[in-house]
Amino acid sequence: MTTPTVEELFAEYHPGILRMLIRRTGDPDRAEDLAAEVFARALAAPPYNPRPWLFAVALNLVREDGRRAVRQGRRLELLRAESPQHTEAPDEVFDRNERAALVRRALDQLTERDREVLLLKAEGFDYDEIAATAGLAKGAIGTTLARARRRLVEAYRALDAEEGDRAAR
Amino acid sequence: MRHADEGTLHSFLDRELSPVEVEELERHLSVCVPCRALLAEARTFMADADELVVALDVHPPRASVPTVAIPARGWRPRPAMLGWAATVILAVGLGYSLRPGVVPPTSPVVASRQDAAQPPVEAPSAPANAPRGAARPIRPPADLPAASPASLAGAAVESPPPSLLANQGAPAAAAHAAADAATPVGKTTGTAGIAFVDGAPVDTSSRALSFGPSPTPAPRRITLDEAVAHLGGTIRLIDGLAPQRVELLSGVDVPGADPDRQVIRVYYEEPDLGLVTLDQQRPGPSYAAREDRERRFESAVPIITVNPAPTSRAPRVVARAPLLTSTLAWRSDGTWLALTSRLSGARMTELQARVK
Repeated sequence: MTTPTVEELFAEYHPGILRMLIRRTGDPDRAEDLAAEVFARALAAPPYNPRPWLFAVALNLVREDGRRAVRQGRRLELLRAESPQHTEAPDEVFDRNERAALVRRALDQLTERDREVLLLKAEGFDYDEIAATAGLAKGAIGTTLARARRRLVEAYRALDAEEGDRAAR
Repeated sequence: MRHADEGTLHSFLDRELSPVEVEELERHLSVCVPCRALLAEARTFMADADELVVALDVHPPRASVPTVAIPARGWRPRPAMLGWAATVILAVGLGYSLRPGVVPPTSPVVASRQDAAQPPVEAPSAPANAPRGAARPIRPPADLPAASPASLAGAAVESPPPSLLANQGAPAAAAHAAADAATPVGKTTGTAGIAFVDGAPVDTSSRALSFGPSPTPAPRRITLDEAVAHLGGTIRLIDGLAPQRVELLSGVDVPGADPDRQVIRVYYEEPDLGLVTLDQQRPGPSYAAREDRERRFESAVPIITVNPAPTSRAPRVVARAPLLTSTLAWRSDGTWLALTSRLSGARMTELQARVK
């Protein structure tokens, strides 16, 4: 089997890497920068086993990058083009963004490891792949996921209830 | 007898247990009601967590496509990327996930070739050949003119946004065709390119650029007849209620459904019931077979999941009040069905009895 080219790696994995980074950081611009960095490193040292390697690098970059307050690199301005088919009402957009912010707060309550395992699972990794990427024993993944899922849901429900109380006042 | 721990239950639901472990667990579950309840709870946590994670993909709805203008300020070359024929092309993933509840499929990335004759949209090719949508190779554009950031910004802003939306029909149709096959397929809605030439960014195509996971086709309103056709001749409806609206959704967007097939959603609205939706689907054979194991335990504890927030794109805008919907899902004659509403479990079960 030939080693995939970086172009192939990019085509195959960039969407998933970017998606996971957006979920992990909540910042699309920063996620893009990090994703680009991941593939830049792959350029420098093409990985033998790409998927776990790429995602592990991505997660490491987030951890290292955590304290950097200033985002460097491209800043993108988004201009919206309206569609004749279907526009989202402003309050729907508001609701969706609010909900995402709430989920993010809930996600932040998890430990780093629980959070990473959860996000990798959401990218379709199986337990073997999660273990390889996150550096855990396969036998621990089930327990970690169980705990991560429960904590995320419970944290979200608590925050949602809080918000509901606040809105009611 | 040793009770099942949480980790084992989740491993079971993730289909990560060995056949021996599965058999052992099933044997225990067949005689232990509390553990069956724990399994149902685990399933709920799993489904809810999946939905919450997806809610982190905050993107505008697919129908509203952002175009990206690259401003002149703040450019910084990325030295790490320049060690490749002095140019690097960044291809950015296309499309969006639609709304909470959407599970983003693997999304394709289309790298643009740096020439003007590039076709604006690439619909996904046959699933067998391109399981993640069509991806074009990234090539260093040796012939690219260097552009100053200022001219880039000017170019980006002045050029009219392309009509990506004109092409939405094609990907949607192709996506439907692809969704009916066994393989989940990514979908493209357009292409764009940003190239760095010796550190300076160049937008060589004046096309809209978007990022994020690729969209599943948006729910599409259809007629009852079309719905019947989709379901292979018969549709299940709530006896005594008038359907207000029928939609066709991707299975990916409906928790509990086979992601590779489409779901028919029928909306009902009655003063005493509020908004009720009935989802139905004829799952694919492989999905149905995989679900067999879980189904045996579903009947022990009726699965009524309480949803953290509205999951359906109802025709009306739902108020901000945190009302919870519940979903009752079951199978009947090879059809997967799910009722969602704000009614109590008892009333849902009543409604369920009226589904014919």
